[in-house]
Amino acid sequence: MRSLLLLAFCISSVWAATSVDETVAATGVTEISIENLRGKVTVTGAESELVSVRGSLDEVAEGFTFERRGNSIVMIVEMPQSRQLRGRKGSELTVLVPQNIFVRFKGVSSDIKVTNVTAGVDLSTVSGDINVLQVSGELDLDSVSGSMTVTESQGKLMVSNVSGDVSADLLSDDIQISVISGNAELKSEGVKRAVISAVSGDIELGLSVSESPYIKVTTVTGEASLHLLNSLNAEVRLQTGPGGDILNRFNDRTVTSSFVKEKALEFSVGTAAGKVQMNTVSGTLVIK
Amino acid sequence: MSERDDRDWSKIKQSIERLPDSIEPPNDQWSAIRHRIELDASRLKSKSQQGWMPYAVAASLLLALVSTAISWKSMSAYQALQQQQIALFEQQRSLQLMEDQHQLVKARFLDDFEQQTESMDPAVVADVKNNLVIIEQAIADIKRALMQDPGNQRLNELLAETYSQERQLIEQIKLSYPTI
Repeated sequence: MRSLLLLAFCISSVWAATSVDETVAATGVTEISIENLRGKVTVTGAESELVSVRGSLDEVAEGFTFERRGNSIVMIVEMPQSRQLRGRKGSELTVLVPQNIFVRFKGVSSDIKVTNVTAGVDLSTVSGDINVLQVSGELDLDSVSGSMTVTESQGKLMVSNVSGDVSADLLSDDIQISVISGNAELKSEGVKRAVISAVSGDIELGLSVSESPYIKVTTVTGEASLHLLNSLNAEVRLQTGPGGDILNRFNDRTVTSSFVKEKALEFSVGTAAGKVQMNTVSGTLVIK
Repeated sequence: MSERDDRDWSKIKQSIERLPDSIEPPNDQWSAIRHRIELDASRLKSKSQQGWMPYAVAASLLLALVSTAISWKSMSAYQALQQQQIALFEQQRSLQLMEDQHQLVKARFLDDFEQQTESMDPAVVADVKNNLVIIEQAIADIKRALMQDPGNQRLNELLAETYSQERQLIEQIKLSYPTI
């Protein structure tokens, strides 16, 4: 009986999520680097010189590092090497940081949400979702199958995703999005350069562009739609391979087709200072 | 015939019979006549030579010009054809190089990828493989069209772009899974 009670205690102590509530001074700190395998992490910028973390660690976490290293704060949820994690609960952490701090995050199946920071983010997951709200600076987002949402943000956007969907609504002059089978939906103003590519995923763009924009959109089989929200000054060239299609809702120029069934649409508009190029092999291209 | 006619005809016949077989011109006139004849012949010859010579020269020049023009045109056409063939050859070589690189990179990637698939989400593995097949199919479609229309620059660009997308996919997976 005594041994049974001891076993039950051991099991419960292993399975129980450990709570954390820690704070470190962040004067002069420029970056926070967070590693969390699974669960959910929320990072929020605040008018503060402190970094604090609250919540519960992963049920199988072996330790927790939270310390200052030079100009960085490092936060790591330490996990066992063996990955028998099914049925166990991941971390749930809320982190408060100074607003002007750069946030770096690495996770596997951990969701990450970052709100209200001004020095940019570099967020990477495998299957975890990424959510960025009211963030400015460089936004570097990378996932395999997690979905990505960027709203009310500002700055250079670099997105890489395999099968996850991407949705971004921001103010950015420089955008680079690469998806494979995921869909990408982007709304932005003041765009000087946008390079968007997909293989089988669809792309939908609503862009207000600069005086001489460079827009390049490429798919293999996916549909790509570009909606220009202000006046355009560019040389425009849309091209498909055999079997692709082009829908021109921008002007009355005619789409040409060759005997090998590739299609093209080319025209200049305004001062023609910029360049808009859309390519697909067998997908559909829409310009409006 | 009357009697009077017979008498006349007899007189004529007698006169004819009295004529000598040949008459030599006077010695002092013959050299003058021969000189005159030779002079006329020479003039005639000289005149006829002066008449056809300019036409012959013009015809020769024209012939030379036409011949040069034809040669020039043939040479230009030949050079253009040669350049076209060189460009086509270069294009084929460039395509073959791209294809070789593509096959090499892809084979290496698939080798490493297969070894890692157990630790990856099966849905992601299936998705990556599916999209590689989609790109392969797209490349085959473009190549088929290029065989029908080898000089199509846009198709060539699209092919290069599609190869580039495959490289991008591979790099993207490698970045997401650093062990690959």
